[in-house]
Amino acid sequence: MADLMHTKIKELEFNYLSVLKKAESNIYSANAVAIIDEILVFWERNRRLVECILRHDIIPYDTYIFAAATYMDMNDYEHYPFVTLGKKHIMDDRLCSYIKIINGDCDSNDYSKKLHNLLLTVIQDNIKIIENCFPSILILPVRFLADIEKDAIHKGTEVAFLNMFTSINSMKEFFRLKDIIEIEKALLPTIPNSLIFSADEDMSNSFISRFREYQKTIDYSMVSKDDETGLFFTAIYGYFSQALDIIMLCASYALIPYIRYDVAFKYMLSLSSNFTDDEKIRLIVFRACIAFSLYRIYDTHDFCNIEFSKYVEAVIKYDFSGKLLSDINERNFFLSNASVEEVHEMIEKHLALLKLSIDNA
Amino acid sequence: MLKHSSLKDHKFVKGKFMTPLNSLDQPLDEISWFHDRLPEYVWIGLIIKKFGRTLGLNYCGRISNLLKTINTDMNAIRFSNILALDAEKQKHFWHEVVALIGTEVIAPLTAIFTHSEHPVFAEIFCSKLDDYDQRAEKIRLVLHDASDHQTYFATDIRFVVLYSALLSGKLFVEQEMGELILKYPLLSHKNEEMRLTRPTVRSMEATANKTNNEEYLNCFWEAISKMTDCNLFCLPFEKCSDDSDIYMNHVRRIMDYYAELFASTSPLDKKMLVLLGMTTYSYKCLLELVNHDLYNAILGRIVIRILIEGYIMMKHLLKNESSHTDIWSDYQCYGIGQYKLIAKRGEETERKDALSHVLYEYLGFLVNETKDEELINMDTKYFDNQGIREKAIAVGEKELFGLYYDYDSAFAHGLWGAIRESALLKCDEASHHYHCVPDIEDKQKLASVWHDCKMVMDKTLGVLYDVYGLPQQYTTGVSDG
Repeated sequence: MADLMHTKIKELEFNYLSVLKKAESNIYSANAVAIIDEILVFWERNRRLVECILRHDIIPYDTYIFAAATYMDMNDYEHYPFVTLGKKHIMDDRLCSYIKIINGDCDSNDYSKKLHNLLLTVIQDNIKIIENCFPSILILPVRFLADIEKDAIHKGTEVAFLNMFTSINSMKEFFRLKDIIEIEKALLPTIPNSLIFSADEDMSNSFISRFREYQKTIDYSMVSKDDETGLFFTAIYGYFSQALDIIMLCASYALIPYIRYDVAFKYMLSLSSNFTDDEKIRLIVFRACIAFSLYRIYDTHDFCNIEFSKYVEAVIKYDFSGKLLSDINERNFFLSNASVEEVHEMIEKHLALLKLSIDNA
Repeated sequence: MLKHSSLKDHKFVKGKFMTPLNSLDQPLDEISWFHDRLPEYVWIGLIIKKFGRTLGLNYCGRISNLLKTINTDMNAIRFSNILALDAEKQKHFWHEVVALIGTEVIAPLTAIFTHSEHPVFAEIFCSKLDDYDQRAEKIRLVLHDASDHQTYFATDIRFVVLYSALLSGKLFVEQEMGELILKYPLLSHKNEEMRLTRPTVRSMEATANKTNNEEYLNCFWEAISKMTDCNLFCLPFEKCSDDSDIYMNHVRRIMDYYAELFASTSPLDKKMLVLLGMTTYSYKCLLELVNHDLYNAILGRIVIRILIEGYIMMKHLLKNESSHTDIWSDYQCYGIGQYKLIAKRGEETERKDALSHVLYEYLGFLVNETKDEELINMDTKYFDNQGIREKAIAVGEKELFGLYYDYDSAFAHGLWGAIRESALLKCDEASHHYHCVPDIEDKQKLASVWHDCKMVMDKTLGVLYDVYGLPQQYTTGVSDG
């Protein structure tokens, strides 16, 4: 049966693949600006089609978006756990956002060169996704193109950021703080222990020492390492903005965020507490938590030997999503009362059964 | 502006009115300025927009002279031809252009012509780029301002095209005309001489541009159409139905009178039944129009079409009464015969839908109501073998048919004119070719039918008035039929 939408989606993805391949071979050439500008132009031109896909082709609350990640990392089989839950899957392409930062000449400075390296990694990963995972995973620059109120997100982020402080009422006042010590003094008492800078930090250490460890890890940044206020702002404001952006985006399009990065997940969970009255957001966040738990438990070694398309077939046949959510519903679990241990047990059980069904097939 | 042909100027051939132009042996080539030529010259428009007319035309002149040394084709200045130059020539050309006017002026076109298809162009002009939206806006502005081929801006662009064609040596003009044309950039548009020069420039440019590059145009328009959002607008219309309550009460009183008159004086009179039945049908349609606020709706036009057809039919029946034994029974039989045909189809089909609005069994009862259906034929032709148009002419209502009924028929049949008027919204965006989009949100209403409905209802009541009279207290507002 004719299906114009799916024909156009396929055209879109494979036209993008063609653009990506050209970008891959020329990213370090003198023509880099023109080449990567083509990626931006490509998506701007197809903006309306992307919006149309988001409005009409997704399955509400059963479409997962791979968010808060620069790239998926196909080499590490990250696509396997991603497709295990849900009926449709979208990789949020961050290329366009990074491209806007590029100023031109890739030899101009070390930071720019590193950004080009990152772009190349993302481009190569995206190529693999389209070549190996279409139509199970679509690449779309959802956060970049989505028709959501960017101003409202900026305002909301600023409010959330400033609410951490006892008597800092504007960003101007915040930037008058000289260093991390003054920042700590200005924060509400409960805040320092709840802020995270990076995934592997030891939360038993003090706020200041955790920040100092984070400071050492900064490889490249728009902000100097010695500008502690700027670094704090870039890190925390950045996490808040990303979390709010993800929540609003997913609420607008009834998507479930698949977030594997600890820190981003925790900030998303934390900021979502501002929306406890919103039933839809509570459902989205709950399913995001289940997805995060799945990611933590999933052992790619169990499944990576299976060809990806066959794995997808097996997941659908077994109805992993349906069975897991059914078990969760039977226990009347919601965001407010779900037992993490029990949910983990259910996930483990169904992963084991899935593996069995694949082995027996 | 060219005067359009009158109805008389059209040739009527086998049911079609042919325009004088379409009646020519050699059909005209349709190479439109906006669709087929302007895309090739947007870059010229960008230069003139950036530097103003005087300096812009000066730069364009210098660029045309430069182009002549690279490509002697008459249409060398077309953007598609420049992009088709071999890499070395193209690079040389663009570097010279950049030396003259910088990269920013033409850079917006990188939003259409990207590196994979046009590497030379993209590499040179992608060095300092506006936001995508800013690039799109600059192109959109040129398209918008030059969309009308006769604006000063469009004519300036056409001058540059013509100048380039003349430079190629492949377009010849008389000396006098050549001198006139060459004065163009030196004269202000306010100068009286330009009233002759501008049309000369336009007609010569059109002559020099008889072909187009389909591939380039398709690529251009596809990219452009995706760049911008629609700018939709709709025409506002008032209901104009302030007196609807008063009028409907008035009609109701008249209908009450005739209904009572019928019941009390001639309950078995077929003629009166038919005439009153038809008037009541029109009255009920009008009631639905008022009760459901259909004045500006598509269905409003269906209502008035029904009113007109009913009125014409009433007049036809009265006019031809003497040529039939019993025209009133014949008319009823004709209509019931239509029902019988439908009821029979319903009987004989295997497909039964309990929720259908067509109650075939009930229709069967209606068919057999006054006589057995075995005595009722099913006539599939027009009643009295005459279409509504012929009937209208015969009863002196040609205008009512030609100016109203035919128009409303377009809505009854869902013809494209009616669809365009009622179901589509116009987009004021040049890059979208001023296209139309479906009016899903029901924003576009139609001109109110109320005034015309009252006019036809009055005529209908006028028929009854002529046949049966009407007490004076009811006669206000009823016209002669």
